[in-house]
Amino acid sequence: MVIIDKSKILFDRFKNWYMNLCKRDKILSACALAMTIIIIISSFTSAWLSHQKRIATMAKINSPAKLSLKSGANEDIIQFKMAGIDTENGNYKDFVFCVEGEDISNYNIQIAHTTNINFTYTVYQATPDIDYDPAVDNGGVEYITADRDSVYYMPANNALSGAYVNEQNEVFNISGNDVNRKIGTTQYAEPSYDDSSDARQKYAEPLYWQTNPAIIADGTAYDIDSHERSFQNYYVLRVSWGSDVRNDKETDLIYITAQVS
Amino acid sequence: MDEKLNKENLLQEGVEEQIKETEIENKEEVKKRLITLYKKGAMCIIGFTIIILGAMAWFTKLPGVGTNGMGVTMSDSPFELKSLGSDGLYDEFLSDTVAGYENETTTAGAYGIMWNLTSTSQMNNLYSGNGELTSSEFREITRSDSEEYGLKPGDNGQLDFSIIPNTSGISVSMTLDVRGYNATFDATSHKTNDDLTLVTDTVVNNYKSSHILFFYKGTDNKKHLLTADGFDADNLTVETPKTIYWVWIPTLQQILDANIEALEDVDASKEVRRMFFENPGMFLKVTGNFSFAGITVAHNDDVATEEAAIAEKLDLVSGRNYSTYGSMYNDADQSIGDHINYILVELNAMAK
Repeated sequence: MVIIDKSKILFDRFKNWYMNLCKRDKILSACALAMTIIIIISSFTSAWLSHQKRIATMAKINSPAKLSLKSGANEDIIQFKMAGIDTENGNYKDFVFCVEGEDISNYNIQIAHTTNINFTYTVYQATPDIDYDPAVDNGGVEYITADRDSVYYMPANNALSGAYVNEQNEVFNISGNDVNRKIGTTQYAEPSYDDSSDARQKYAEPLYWQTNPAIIADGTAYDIDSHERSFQNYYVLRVSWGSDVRNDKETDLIYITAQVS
Repeated sequence: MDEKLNKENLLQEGVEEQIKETEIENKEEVKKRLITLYKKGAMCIIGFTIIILGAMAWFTKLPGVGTNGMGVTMSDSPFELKSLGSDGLYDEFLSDTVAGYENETTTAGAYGIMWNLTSTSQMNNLYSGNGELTSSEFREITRSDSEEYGLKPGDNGQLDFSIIPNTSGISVSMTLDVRGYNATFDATSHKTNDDLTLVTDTVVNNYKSSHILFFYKGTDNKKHLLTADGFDADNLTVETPKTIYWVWIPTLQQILDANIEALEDVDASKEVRRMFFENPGMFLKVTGNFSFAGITVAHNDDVATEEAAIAEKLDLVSGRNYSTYGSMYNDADQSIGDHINYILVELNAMAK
C-alpha cells in the first residue's frame, strides 16, 4: 500500500507538472516521450532482427505422369484378351484398348512383339459409338465387356503414324513361295551369354514399334478444382495376316505400353 | 423501564445503521482502491514485460547495435549468409510469396536473400538453356504438365552457402523450413498470375517432409538427417562453406535396405530408416482403415536397440509384403505431385 501511495504521489506530481505546461510544451513533451519509446523499441528490434538471417529458394514439383492402359468400355486392362484369332477366317482381327491419363500433353504408344508368326500389327485411333447397330452399320469393332455386353468402337481411317526401330527384312520360303517378313535386330539387346555368340533365337528377338510423332492427349478441359486435365483415348489394335500364315500352334508375345512423351 | 429499553433499542439500531454505512463506505473505498490497484498492476505487468523483453534483446543483441544520445547506431550483424551463382528460375514466385528476400549475394544489410545457384548447387531450378530465358519459354516451363526444371522422385543434389562471421568465434544455429505451395492454372494448363497458396493439408505435408529429405554434414564429416532440431556451426572465425544435401528418395526399398543411393552414406540412410519405422504413416499413403501398429518401432535413444527392433520388423515390410507397402510409398509420391506445385526451402540462421 505504501508503494501504491508513493507511486500515486509521483504520478500526481507528473500529472500536475504536465497539466501546468503550456500547449506547445505539452505537444513537445508528448512527442519526445513517443520518440523515446519508438527508439528504444526499434533499437531492440533491430538487435533482434540482425541476429537472424535467412536464405531461401523455390523449386517446382513435377506432376507425376498419370498414364495407364485399360481395356475397352473403361474396364481394367485385365479384361484385355487377344483370343480367337483364326487365320483361316478373314485376314485380320481387331482388339480394343484404351490409354487414359491426367495432365499429360503428349504420349507415345509402343509395341514390342516377337516374330514367330508373320502377323502385322497396326494401331488405329477409335471412338466409342453408342448408337452402333451391327445389323445396319459397318466397320465397328466389338468389345465384349465382363458382363457380356457389346460396346462398339469406330476405328479411324488412317493408322497411327509410327515406325519400327530395329527391323530387318527376312525372306522366308513357304511351300516354294518367298514371303517377306520383318524380324528384330539385336541392336537394343544385351547378349544373353557372351559377346561373341548370338545365342538368342532370331524370332524371339522383339521388334520395337513406336508412334511418331507423339500422340496429342485428346481430353477434357483443365479442371480448376481438381487441378487436372483428364483424357481417355481408345484404340484398336489390328492383327492382320497374309495367306502364308496358317493356324499353327505358334505363340507370340506382344507388349503394349504407353509412355509420356 | 419500558421507555429506557426503547431508547436503548433505538440507540442500538442507530449504531448498527452507522456500522452498516461505514461498512458500505469501506467496501466502496476498497473497491476504488482495488480498481486503482488493478490499473496500476496492469501497467506494472506491461512495464515488466517490456523490461524483460528489453533485457532479453539487450543480452542477445550484438555489440554494435545501440543508442547514442538521440540516435541509433546499427553495425553489421554478427554473421552474414552468402551464396554465389545465378538467380533461381522461380525467384519471382518466391519474392511474390514471402516478403523480405532480396536479390543479393550476402545478407549484409538485408534480412534474407534468395539463394544463388550453380550447376552443382541447385534444386533443378537453374536455367541451363542458351541465352536469356524468354517469358514465353518460362510460361511453357511453368505449365502444369511441364516436366522441365522440376523435381521428381529420384532427384537429388545439394545447396551451397557460406557463413561469414563478423564477430570472431560466433556460433550459429540453423533450421530448415520446407513449405509446399499450390499454383493455379488456366484452361491451357498455363500458370495464372494468382499468388501461390500455402499447402495446409497435414497428410500431404507429411509425405513431403518424409519423401523429400535434407541432410547436413556434421563435425564428424558424415551426413545427418536435417530435422526440426536443425544444426549448428560453432566458433566461426573465417568464412565457412556449408552444404545442404537433398534427395527425393525414389523407392521404399532404398529406405528398407538403408541404401539411399544418392546419399552414399549408410548411417544417414539408417537414420531415414529409423524415421520410417517410427512414423510409417508419414511415408505411406493408405485409403480406408489401415493400421501401421504392426510395423511401427518406438524411438529409442539407444540406436543399437532400435536397429535391432527394426531388424525384426523388416520382413513384414519387404519381401513378399513389399508390393503392398511399396505401392503405398509410390501413392504418397503421387500425392505430393498432385497437391504441391512448388516448394520453398528456407534456411533460418540465428546467432547463438
